[in-house]
Amino acid sequence: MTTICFSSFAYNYLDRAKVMAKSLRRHHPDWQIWGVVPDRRPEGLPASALAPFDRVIEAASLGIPDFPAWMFRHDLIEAATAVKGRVLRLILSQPGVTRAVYLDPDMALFAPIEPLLASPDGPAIVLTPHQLAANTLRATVDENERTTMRYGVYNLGFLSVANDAVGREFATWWSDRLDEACYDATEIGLFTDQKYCDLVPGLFPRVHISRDEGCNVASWNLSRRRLHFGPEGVLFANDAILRLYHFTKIGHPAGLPAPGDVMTERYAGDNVEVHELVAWYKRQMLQNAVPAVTSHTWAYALFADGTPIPRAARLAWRDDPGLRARFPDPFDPAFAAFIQSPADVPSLPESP
Amino acid sequence: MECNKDLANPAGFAPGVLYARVPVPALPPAPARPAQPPVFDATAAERYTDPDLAAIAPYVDSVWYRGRYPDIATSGIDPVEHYGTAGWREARMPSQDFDPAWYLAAYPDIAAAGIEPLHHYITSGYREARRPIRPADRKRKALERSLRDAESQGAPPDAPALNQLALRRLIAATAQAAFGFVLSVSHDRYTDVTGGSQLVISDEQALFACARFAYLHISPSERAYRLLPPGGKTAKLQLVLDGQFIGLASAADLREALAAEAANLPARRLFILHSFFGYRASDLIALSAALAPQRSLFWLHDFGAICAGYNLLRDGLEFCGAPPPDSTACTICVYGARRAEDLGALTTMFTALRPVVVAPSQSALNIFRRYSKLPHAAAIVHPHAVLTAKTPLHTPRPQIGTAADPIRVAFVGYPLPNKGWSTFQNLADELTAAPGISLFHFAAPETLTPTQGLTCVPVQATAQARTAMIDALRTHAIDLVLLLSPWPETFSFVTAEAIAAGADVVALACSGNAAAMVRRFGRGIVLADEAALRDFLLGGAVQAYMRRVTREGRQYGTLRPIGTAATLGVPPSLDLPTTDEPRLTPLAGAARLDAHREGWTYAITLPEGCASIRLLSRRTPDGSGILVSAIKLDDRDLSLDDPALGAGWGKTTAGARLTSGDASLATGGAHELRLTLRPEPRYPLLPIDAD
Repeated sequence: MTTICFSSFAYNYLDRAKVMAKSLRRHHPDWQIWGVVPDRRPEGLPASALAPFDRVIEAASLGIPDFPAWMFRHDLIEAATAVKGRVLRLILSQPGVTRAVYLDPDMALFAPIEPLLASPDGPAIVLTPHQLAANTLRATVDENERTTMRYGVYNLGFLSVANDAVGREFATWWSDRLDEACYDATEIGLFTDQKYCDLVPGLFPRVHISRDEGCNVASWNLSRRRLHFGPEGVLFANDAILRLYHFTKIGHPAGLPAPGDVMTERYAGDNVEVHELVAWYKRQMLQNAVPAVTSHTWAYALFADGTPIPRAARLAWRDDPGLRARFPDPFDPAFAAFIQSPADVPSLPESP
Repeated sequence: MECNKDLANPAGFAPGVLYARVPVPALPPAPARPAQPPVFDATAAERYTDPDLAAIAPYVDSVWYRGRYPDIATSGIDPVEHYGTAGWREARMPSQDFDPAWYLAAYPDIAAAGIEPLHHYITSGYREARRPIRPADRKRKALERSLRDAESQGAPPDAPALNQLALRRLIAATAQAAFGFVLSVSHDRYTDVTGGSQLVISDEQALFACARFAYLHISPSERAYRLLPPGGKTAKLQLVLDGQFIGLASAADLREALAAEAANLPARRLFILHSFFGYRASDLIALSAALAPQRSLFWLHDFGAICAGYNLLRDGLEFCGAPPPDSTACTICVYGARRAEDLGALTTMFTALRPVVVAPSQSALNIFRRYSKLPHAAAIVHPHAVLTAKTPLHTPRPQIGTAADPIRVAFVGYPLPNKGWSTFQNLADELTAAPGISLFHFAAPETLTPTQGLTCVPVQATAQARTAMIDALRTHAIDLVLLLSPWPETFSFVTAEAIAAGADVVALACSGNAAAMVRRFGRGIVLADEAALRDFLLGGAVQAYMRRVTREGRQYGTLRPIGTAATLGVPPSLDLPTTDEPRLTPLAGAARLDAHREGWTYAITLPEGCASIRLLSRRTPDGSGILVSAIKLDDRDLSLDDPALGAGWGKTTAGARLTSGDASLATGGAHELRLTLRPEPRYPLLPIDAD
C-alpha cells in the first residue's frame, strides 16, 4: 500500500518544490515523494537541498531516445510537463505501489488530500477542473472560462492515478502522447500535458472529476471561491476545507510582481485571507531558498556556446526536417549562428 | 467574556446590538455606501479656472494632502494644483481614498491613455465599477506591517556601561537604604515610551517608592517582540533605578551582581515580569534565581504567553481564538512558527518562576486560563484603575444628532490596526459627511493625520499628566468614544478614560475588557461587528440612542490609577489604605540604628565616632517623608534651619520641617539623637509592606 507523489521542476524552482514537499510530508508522512528534474544538477548543490525528496530523477535518465534533440524541442514548461508521463509509468511499475499522485512544485497542502484520491477499488483517475462554478462577469468569463477552454478543462497540476489496469492504460497513452508532442501550441489544439486530458473522461472508465472546492484553489478560480477561517484555525474555500492551494506564477519575494501576483491581485480583491496565504508562501520561498541555484539557468536554455536559445529556434528545428538534417545536434553553436543570421551561414548543397 | 460571540442579541434591540445602555430599536440598516467618490470640499471647484482642476478639486482632501506631504505644506503650493499637475505622476495620493499609482497599474487602458487617473475615476471609472484603491487596502497594510521586522529602539548613545563591579556597588548602596527590592522586567524603557503598560509600571514604581522599595527595572536595549530563542544573541539591558536611567549592563553581569549582593538585599523582594519580549527565558530564570524573591508576579498585559502574536490577531488582522498550533491558521500566520518554538521555553520559565499570574481584568484571565497551560502558583484579577461615576448632570439637548447639535464622536489613541484604526478609517469619510455627527481624533501629536472634517486633538497622558485624556475629552464634550480594537483588550485605559470624561463608549464585541467595562458600568453599547457599527452610526440609531442617553444626563467619573503590583491585595477602591507609621529608620554608614520610641519621639543611640546619619522613612505619594518638629543632639536643641540639617530636608511650616524620606543630619560626635515628629503625613500602606 504505497503512494508515490511526484513533482516535476527545474532547479530554479527548487525552493518552491521544497515548500510543496514539506507540506506534503506533514500531512502524508507515509508517502514517498519523488522529484523529476528536466535539468542538469548545478555545481555545488548540496545533497541536503534535496532532502525533502525520497528520490530525485533527472530527465536524462528516463530512457528517452535521442534525448538532447528531444529536449531541444521543448521550452522549460514543455519539458517539465513532457516527462510526467514516463515517470508516471515508472512509478506504476514499482512493486507495492498502489497509487501515483502528481503535484505541481508550486502547490502546498493545508490538509490531507486523501479524500480526493484515486484507489484501485474506486476511481482509477482523478482530475480537478480549473473551474467549478460559472463566472458571471464579462471579464471573468473571458479570462477564466475561455482561457480554460483554450488550455485545458482540467488542471494538470494535480493528478491521481490508481495502479490498476485502467490507470496503467492511461499512463501508457498519456506518456506516448507526451513523448511525441508536449507543446504549447494551442493553435493546433495542444497545450503541454494538460489539453490531452480533456479526452480522459471519454477515453477511460472510472474517471472521477473532483468537485471539491478546497482542492487546487488558484488565481484562476478565485473569482468563484472565497477563503475564510473557521473554528480551530481551519481554512475554508467556500464551504470546503482548503486542502491544496496552487501558487501559480507567484513571483519571488525579492523580484517584481509576476503574472500570478497580478492575477491574485485582480481576483482575490478584498479576500484578505488569500493575501495572507500568498504572504506566507513568499516567506516560505525565502526560508527554503537554496543559494546554489538562486542564479541557476536551466541547463537546456543555452546553445553549447552559452547563447540563449530563442523559442523560435526550437520551433523551427522541431518543425523543419531540413534543419534537423542540417544541424543534427541542435545545441551546436553553428545552429545558433544560423538562427541569428541565416544568410551568413553557407547553405548545404541541394538534396538530389 | 472573551470575544462575546456567545452574547445574544437582546429581544427588541436592533440586530448586531449585543448590549446597550438604553434600548436600541431595530431601524432599517444604514444606506449602502454611496458609489460616488467622497467629496471633501463641495465648493472647491469654484476656485479653479482650469476645467480639469475644477473637476477634481472637490475630491482632493487638501488638509490630508498637506499633512501627508510636508514639502507641499512648506512650499505653500495649492494641493489641488499640485496633485493635478505633478502629484499624480509622482504617485502622490489626493486623499486616503484614491491611489493613482494603483489605479494605473490595475487599469492599463487608463495608463496607456495617459489620463490623470482621479479625473477618470470621478467622471467614469466609478460607474464602470473600477476601484479607487487596492481592495482591502487598510487590512493589507496591516498585514504588511505585521510582516515587517520589529523596529528596534536603541539605548541613548551616551549610555554608561555598567560592569559587574559597578553593579555590585550600586546594588549594595541601594539595598542598604531600601526596605524592599523589586526587579521589574519589561520589553521597553517605560520612562521613555507612552503606553498603557508603561504607565502602569510608572505607577508601580512610584507606589513602591512610598514604601522605600528600591525598584530596578530592566529592558532590552534592542526591542524585540518575542521571547528570544535559547541560543539567540541578546542585547544589553537598560537599567532604570527608581525612575532614573542609569546605564547598560549584560544580563550575566546583573545576575552575578545580584547573586553576590543577595545577602545584603532586604528580605522583601519581588520579581515582576511585565513582559518577556526581547529576553531569553534562561536569562530571566537566572536573574530570578539570583534575586531569590519572596514572590514572582507575571502581569497579563497582553497574550504574549499564549502566542508571540500577543494580540491574538492572525497575521495582525483578525482575532484568531488561539487555535491549535498545528492548525492552518497558525501554519500560515507570521507568528505561527514562533508560537510552537516559544512554548517549550515558556513552559520551562513558568515552571522555574512559578509566578502568580496577575490579570488586569477577568476577561483577560479567562482567555489565559482557556488557552494557556503554563504552570503558575495562582491567578488573580487586579484592575489597573478604579473608576467611580458621579451624579449625572442634566443638560437638555433636544436637538442632539442634528446639524445644530451634532453628536461628538471620537477615536482615542494610537492610529494602529490593533486599536481598530482601519475600521475607523473605513467609516470616517461617511461619518464626516453625516450632518448630525462631528468626528474627532485624540492622540499623541506626532500620530495625528488631519483630514477634511476630522478634528485632531493632540493630547498625551503621561505619568505626570495622568488625567490629560480625560480632561481633553471633557473639554471637547465628547459624547461617544469608539473602541474598535479587534482583539480582547486586557484592560483598556481608553474605555475607563472615556467613561470618566462623561462619554459613552461604542465597543466592538471583540474588544475584551473594553466591552466588559461598557456592560459593567452601563455606559455605552456593544456591537457585534463592523457592519453593525456602520448600521448604528449611519442608520439613525445613534441619534435615537443619544436622545435617550442625554435625557439621563451626562455622568462624569473619577479614575484612580492604582492597580499595580504594589497594590495587590488592596480591595478596589478610590483610596488606598494609609498609615501614619513612618517606619523611621536611622542609618549610620551601612548600619541601621535602633530607635526607642515614646509616642512620637524617637530616641536614637548614636555609635562612637558617628559624624552623620541618614533618616530614612516611608514617603507620601507627593514625595514627603517625616515632619520633624524638634531635634535634640545630646542636650542641645537644634533649630530646624541648623546647618547640621543637610541633604533631603524640605520646607519648614508651622514649626515643623519635612524630609524627602531620606535626609542627612550631621551629628558632630553626639551620643544620642532625639527626634520629635508630627503625625501628619499619611503614607500608602502597601499590603506587602504591612507589619
